[in-house]
Amino acid sequence: MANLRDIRRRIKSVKNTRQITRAMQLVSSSKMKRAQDSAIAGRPYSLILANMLNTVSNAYKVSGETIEHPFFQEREVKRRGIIMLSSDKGLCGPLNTNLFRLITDEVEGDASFFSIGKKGAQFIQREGLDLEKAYQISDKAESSEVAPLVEAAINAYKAGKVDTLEIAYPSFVNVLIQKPIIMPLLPILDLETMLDQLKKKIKGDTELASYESRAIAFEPSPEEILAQLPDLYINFMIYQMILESRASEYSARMVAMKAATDNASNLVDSLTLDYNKARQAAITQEILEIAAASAA
Amino acid sequence: MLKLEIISPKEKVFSTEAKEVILPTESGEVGLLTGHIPLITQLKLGALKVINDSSQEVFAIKGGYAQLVSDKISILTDEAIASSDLEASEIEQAINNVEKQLANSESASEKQSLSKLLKYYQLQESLLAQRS
Repeated sequence: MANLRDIRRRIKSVKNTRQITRAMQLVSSSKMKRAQDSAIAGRPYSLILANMLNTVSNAYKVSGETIEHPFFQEREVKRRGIIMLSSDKGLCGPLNTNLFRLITDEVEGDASFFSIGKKGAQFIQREGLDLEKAYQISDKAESSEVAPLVEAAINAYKAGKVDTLEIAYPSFVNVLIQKPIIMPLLPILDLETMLDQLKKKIKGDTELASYESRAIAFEPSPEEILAQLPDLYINFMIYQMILESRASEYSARMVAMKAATDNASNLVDSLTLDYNKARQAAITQEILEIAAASAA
Repeated sequence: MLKLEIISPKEKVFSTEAKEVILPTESGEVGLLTGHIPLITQLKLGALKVINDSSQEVFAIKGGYAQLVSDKISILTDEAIASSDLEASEIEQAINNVEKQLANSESASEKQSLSKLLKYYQLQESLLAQRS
């Protein structure tokens, strides 16, 4: 039978750990709510933006012209550019591991990585992959913090250092499920599919007028609108995904910490049982000794 | 009636109905009435006016894009504020802040975004002056 004092000490330490994991669970759940809200708040903007871009590019298609903008040019892929979004801190279950496994499985051949998050940068260095640059952003994820990354990634694409731009991140399915995906950003080839996906997410919250074949006026001209709109679009998409990956991180951490808290509670229960058994055994032992002594 | 929505990346700033909307575009002010043909236009930093029979509302917007389809106008902008929500003391403080940052900033891209911000606040200041 284990020593009474040892068991008591273990119960105390497990309870302390449980307190910490429970606190982390609560903190993550409130942070998750905020991250989710800001991701959802940005959706109408991204939908209309995507719709506008689609309309302008359709206008080009109708008139039979090709779009000169580099974002619309498909090139032979010699080197992929991948933006990887991971968390800064651990204790969030299999979130990062799943993402890294996807990268290992999917990315063959040359690729340059832009990383947000400490864990991702460590992974890239450990695997000996080509890390272009690592960035860190604070919990708030302001768009001004994200700007340098976006600028660097877009410049690398424009300069021809990379031939695609993709983003690998844990997408938020629901609180329990985060699915790591690699999403192509550049070149922009299939706006319609993108638009459909966005519409599905928003679920008819914003009604979108369809342009179809009607005549649309562009002010000052389609060329000038197309000069800046794609940059804004890519910029905003990346920002949206960063917010989404934040929501994923916090929900993964919340779930992991809830599991840890439950485990700690179970452990405390079984240790308490052991403790009571040991106490009972000690009392019985003592009574036996007294009885034996008085009988003698 | 025209339907108007002003949307920023962070939120839907405003949505209303109007008889006429005047947009600040790159090629000058554009007034929109019902029945206008579909339009996509680039906006510059400036005042957006919403006109009804008896009243007129003014918004300061920080550039962006607008689309008009079947009498529905969607404005995408970085930031927007109604002139009725402006506070003189806040604007003054914001302008001082930005001017200080502008004096200290070194990179060209930072300077550019700061001077745009400064123009945005100066616009607010002038709208406030027109209001009173």
